[in-house]
Amino acid sequence: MKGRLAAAFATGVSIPMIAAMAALPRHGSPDQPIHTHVARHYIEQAPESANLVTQVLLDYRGMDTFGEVVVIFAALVAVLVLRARGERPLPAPSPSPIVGFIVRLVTPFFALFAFHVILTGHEAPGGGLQGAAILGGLVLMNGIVFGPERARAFLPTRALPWLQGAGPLAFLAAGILGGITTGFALGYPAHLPVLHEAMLVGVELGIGIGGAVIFSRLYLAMEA
Amino acid sequence: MSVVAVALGLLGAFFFMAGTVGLLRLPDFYSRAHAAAKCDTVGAGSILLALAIALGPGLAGLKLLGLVILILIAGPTASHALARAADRRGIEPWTREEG
Repeated sequence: MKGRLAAAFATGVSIPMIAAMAALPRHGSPDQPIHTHVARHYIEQAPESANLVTQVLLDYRGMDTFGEVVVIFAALVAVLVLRARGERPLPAPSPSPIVGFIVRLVTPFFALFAFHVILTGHEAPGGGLQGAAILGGLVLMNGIVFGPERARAFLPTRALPWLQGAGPLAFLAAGILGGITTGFALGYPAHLPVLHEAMLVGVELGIGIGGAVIFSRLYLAMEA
Repeated sequence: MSVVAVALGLLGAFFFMAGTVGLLRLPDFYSRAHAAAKCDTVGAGSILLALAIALGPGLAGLKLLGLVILILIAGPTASHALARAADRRGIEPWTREEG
């Protein structure tokens, strides 16, 4: 019964999807809306001096990106919950003095670079998740060399639940702020350039720090 | 200027070549790690230096110099950590059989 229901549901969902696929213009065809007028519309309507990719991601399809961020972070937290079950004893770290010195030497530069990638992500290559990977890698590197306790010392214990959700929360805050200033949820106030910039940076920072916290905890869950 | 850049680039290419041959041909982990480390430090280092010289003074060249410094710090450290881990695992270095 259950299987039949599932099969009926899958068929019911997939038929309209396949029909819609068939109605799409041929892949790469010059008649696609994106080539005829959509791309030009984006370029003409975007504010001066703005990064078009960021405009599209965070503004035109901001709601879509918000959903994506929520899904990615929910998936990461779900993996974390699954991983945290099996507990294994920790291997005792035996840091080589050379490796220890070098890791201590590069850690601040590493962190600086991670924040550079996060903060310039809305106008240059980089962005929240990329910076999160670098920052998480930094915690991981310290954990491998000096032991998980050192890695844990990077994470503020009390703020942890909030930081794990920092990405979606920052996005939500930006959405509400945009709603207040422009009247549209996730609208970006073009008439308030400072606030506009602060919202973009806030979203990237939330994704970056939230992602880094989750990456670090994934590693710690594997170690522990 | 460009002569120095080309010479450095060729030097880097040579070290990459030698390192790759060593990685494929040498008998055990330690000697292979030793050969591979040359690619990272001298090989990539001198090619990046060559690029920095070819670009001339400017931000891009400065970034390349930063990369050279990073590679010179990180490459040997990684090789050292690998060799040390292998030693702790009890991997014996290869020696020529007597007789």
